[in-house]
Amino acid sequence: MKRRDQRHFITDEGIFVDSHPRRTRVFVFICAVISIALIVLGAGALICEFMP
Amino acid sequence: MNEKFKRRAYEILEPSTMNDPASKAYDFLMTLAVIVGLIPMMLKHENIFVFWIDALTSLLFIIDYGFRLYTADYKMGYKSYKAYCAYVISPLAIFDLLSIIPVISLFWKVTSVLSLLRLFRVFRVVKLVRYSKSMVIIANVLRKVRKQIGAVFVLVIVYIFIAAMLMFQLEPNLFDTFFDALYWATISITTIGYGDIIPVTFLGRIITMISALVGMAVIALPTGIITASYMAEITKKKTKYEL
Repeated sequence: MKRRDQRHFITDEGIFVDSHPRRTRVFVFICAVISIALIVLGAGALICEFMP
Repeated sequence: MNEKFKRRAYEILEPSTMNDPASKAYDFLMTLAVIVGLIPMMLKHENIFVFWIDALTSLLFIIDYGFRLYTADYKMGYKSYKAYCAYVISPLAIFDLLSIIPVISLFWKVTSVLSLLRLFRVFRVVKLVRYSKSMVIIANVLRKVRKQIGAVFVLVIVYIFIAAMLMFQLEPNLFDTFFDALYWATISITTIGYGDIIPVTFLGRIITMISALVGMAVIALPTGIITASYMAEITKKKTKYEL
């Protein structure tokens, strides 16, 4: 099976070339972790307020 | 190397128009930070979660502002210290700065100032304009008609003052202060009419009737102006897409 090229994203505007796919993956992972933390904190605050 | 890093940072900060996973992840994170950052404003009681929400969202917004300032030359389109100055005084940058102010409440626990500082959280909603194409259209429409809207707004303010001054003289027993008369005039001209302040004299009632009729005409003006401009913007985009 041909390995999927993770550097090239074909879009309507043209081809976006990612020169550091590993760094992109790390950045996306960090954003995901912080997003989950925010969701947990938000849910926790609402639960504490409405269900003491 | 520095320019490459700056260029990449700019691409990530700007709303993703291409299939860039880093930019999309960042847009999602900032949108979530704005929404979660508003939750403390819906709560009556402080708890440990509120503290950490404030701390985390404020840190994210400070980092966001720092990087936007760093890439201001790309944003403004020219390389000069003037680009950085121009960015700092741009409307979105001012709202970004105002949205960071609530971080002071984490370190300075003076009760009287605390509630005022926390009100600045509401400015974070303006950040969502960047990430929504529909909001960008509305912002463009409002920018184009700001002079016409400004003229109508001035007309309304002048009328409110005139009506308030007349009523303050005609019905002195109705109002404790001139501010009450202003409040009454605003509620009448916008046709809300709470009914908490009711004119009792004949002339007072005449002024109220005229205020209601003037209000119907004046309040409808901005709606017509904005709608016409919005339709023109939509038609322009549609024509551009078809060409």
